[in-house]
This record gives sequence, structure tokens and C-alpha cells, in this order.
Amino acid sequence: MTPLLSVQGISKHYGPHIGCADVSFDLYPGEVMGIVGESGSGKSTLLNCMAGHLAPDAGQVVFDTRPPSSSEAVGQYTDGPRDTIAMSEPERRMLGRTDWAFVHQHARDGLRMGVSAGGNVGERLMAVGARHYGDIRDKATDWLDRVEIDASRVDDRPTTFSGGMQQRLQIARNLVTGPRLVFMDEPTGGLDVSVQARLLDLLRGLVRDMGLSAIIVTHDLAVVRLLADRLMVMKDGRVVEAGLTDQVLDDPQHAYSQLLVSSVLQV
Amino acid sequence: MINLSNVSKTFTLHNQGSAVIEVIRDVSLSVAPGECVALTGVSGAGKSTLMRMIYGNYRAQSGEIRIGDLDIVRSEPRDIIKLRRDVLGYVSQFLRVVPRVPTLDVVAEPLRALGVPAVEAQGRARALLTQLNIPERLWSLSPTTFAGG
Repeated sequence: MTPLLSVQGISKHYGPHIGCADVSFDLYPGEVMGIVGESGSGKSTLLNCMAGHLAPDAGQVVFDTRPPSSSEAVGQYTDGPRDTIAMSEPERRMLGRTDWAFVHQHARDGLRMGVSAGGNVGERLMAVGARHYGDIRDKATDWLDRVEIDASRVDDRPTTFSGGMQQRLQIARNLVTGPRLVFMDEPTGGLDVSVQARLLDLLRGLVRDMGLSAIIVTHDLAVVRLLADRLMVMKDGRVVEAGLTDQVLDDPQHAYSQLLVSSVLQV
Repeated sequence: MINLSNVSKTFTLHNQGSAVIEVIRDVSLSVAPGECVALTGVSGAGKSTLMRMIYGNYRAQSGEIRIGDLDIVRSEPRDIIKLRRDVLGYVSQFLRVVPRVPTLDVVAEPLRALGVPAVEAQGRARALLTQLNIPERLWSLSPTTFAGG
């Protein structure tokens, strides 16, 4: 089987400081991988390098592209594994609207706060060629329903939504074009625990039903245990340990992973 | 079906003076299809550790753990995930679930992961819950509200 995403030797420096160094891994279709580590460990730098938000100093991010579906995507990329770092900007942007999705920690970073909820979801559809207003609105309403936002809120701006609703709206906006790979940066960070649990359950269901692959950056070990198949532990920009999620959490081998697991506060 | 040869396991506690604890040394075991094997011994003998190693939850330091054709010690995470989805089950003393998800959905989830439609998976979950004498009025509640048994 071809990996959906193959990351090879990604490094990023901020002047003399290491952002992340020589990170490599393969992600297969349907897999969910968690990246954990303390703040400053380079996990967000790595995520942004993979998603094309930051240019890495070295390395490749090879994605198994597919030919554009005739009705929706109008991109011109050919299919098969391609290094997305070496892609042209328009190609990478098209990928970002079709096969890739990015869920930011703060929903305001991923939403347009001055546009209605329906407009937020519809924008991504229009970006891949949808032009029929009725269809766009129907699809937006359908997605609001799937992320448990009442259809009557379709014309309201996200500024009138709670934090949890904004986060769910951001997820709807990202998934409406049926991506295959979702990057998530602390998707449950900053939400209160009852909202977190519901969001986790929602994400789990969507990942399973849509067969999504996902890379989730978080510092919350409980979140990765429930969502991720695999886990990567980072420290000072390097991967210190990787493996099955429950194996890394229950039998951590590296000193830092042991420290991380034993530092979790028990309720 | 299950073949263990010369399996050893040590825990190295890096943050507690790098203490090395030897838990399992040179264990070999063979289980044929249909056999039911009990691991018994005093507390601390390594029963749970051995079982967790067979499930791929703990990593073995040396030896080989074969389930069918797959060597758990040397396989990729995705192979172990597939094995767990199709072949291996694990009944733990503790249940770990997303809080507030109904029992029926918790039971149906592994079938949903195999791509079985929701209605069919829930039907199977209903049958199993009935068989295990869990009253129907509890199915819509989270299992975290249940008694231990």
C-alpha cells in the first residue's frame, strides 16, 4: 500500500534555534497520528511545515495525490505521490482546499468572523467551483447539522457562537469538500471539558465514517489516547519515541516519554 | 495460533535512578486454536505483563511473539491495529471510553470501524447487551455510570 503522506527529513530552524529537526514518518490511509510534547517541542512547527504554512529548511512532504474529480475540483495536478514542498503555490493552495484540511486551535484563525456560518462553509465549496446557491446552502445546512449546530443558525455570524460551536463550525468548513487528510492543531484546547468530550466523540465518528487520515498535535494525552492510532513524542524539535498510542502511553521507553506520562494529573 | 519463544521484558525507569526491573525472562508458550489458557501466579509474577505483550500493549525486549503469521515484536503499528480489529480482543479490568457516549454506541463502535452500517452494528450490539443481561433502560446511558460488574 502507498502511504497517503510520507514525511522525509523535515527540518526547520529559527535562526540558531531548532524548530524541528530531521523528522520522518509515513502515514497510511485511515490512520490517525498524534504528536505530543511540551510547548516549544516543535510539534506545531512540524505541523505547519507539513501543511505548507511554513517553508522547511530541508526535507520532503510527499502526498499521494489523486486526479481532480470532474465535478468539483478544478486543479490541474496529476495523480500519484508528489512532493508538496516542491509544488507550485497554486497547486498547494488547491490541495489545501480539496484533499487537505487544517483545524486551528483557535476557531477564529480558521473562520471568517464577519461572514455567516453558512457562508463560512460555502466558501470552501465555491473555492472548488460550486456556483449553485441553493446547492451550496443545502450542503452547508447539512454540514451544520452533522456537527450538531442548529440549522436555524445558518445565517448568524460566528461571533454570536460559543467557543465550542465555533470549533465545530470550523470543522464543518474544513470537511465539506471531503478531504482525505486533516491537520489538527490542539483541536480541543481552550474548550471546557464537557464540550471537549462531545467534540472528541464527533471527531471520532467523522474520522471513522469518512475514512479520514489525520495528524493531531496536542499536549493532552487523554485526547490522543481516544483519537489516535499512533503516537509520536517530540522533545527539543526531535522525535524521541514513536509507536502505537497505547504502547507509548502504557510502556514508554524514552526518559522524556516516561516523564510526560507520569506528569499527568489524575482526577 | 499464538506462539511465544524466549520472550523477555524489562522496565527501565529513567526518572527513578534508571532502575531496571526484570519482569519476564525467557518465556515460551504455544496456544492452539480453540484452546483456553489461564495464566496464574502470585501478584507481581508477570501475568498481566505477558498478556499485554501478546496484545502489543507492552514492548518485548527480546524474543518473538507470533499471532498467526505476524510477529508482534517487530511489526508496524498499522499491522497491530489491523490484527486488533480483526483477530485480537482484550478484556481489561478497566473500561476507557469517551465520556457521555451511550453504551449502545460504545459496543457498536468496533463493528462501525469495520465499515458495518450503523443500524446493523447497533442491532448486533443490542443482541450482545441482552445476552450479557444489561437492562435495556441503561443502553442509552454512558457505561461510566455502571457498577463495576
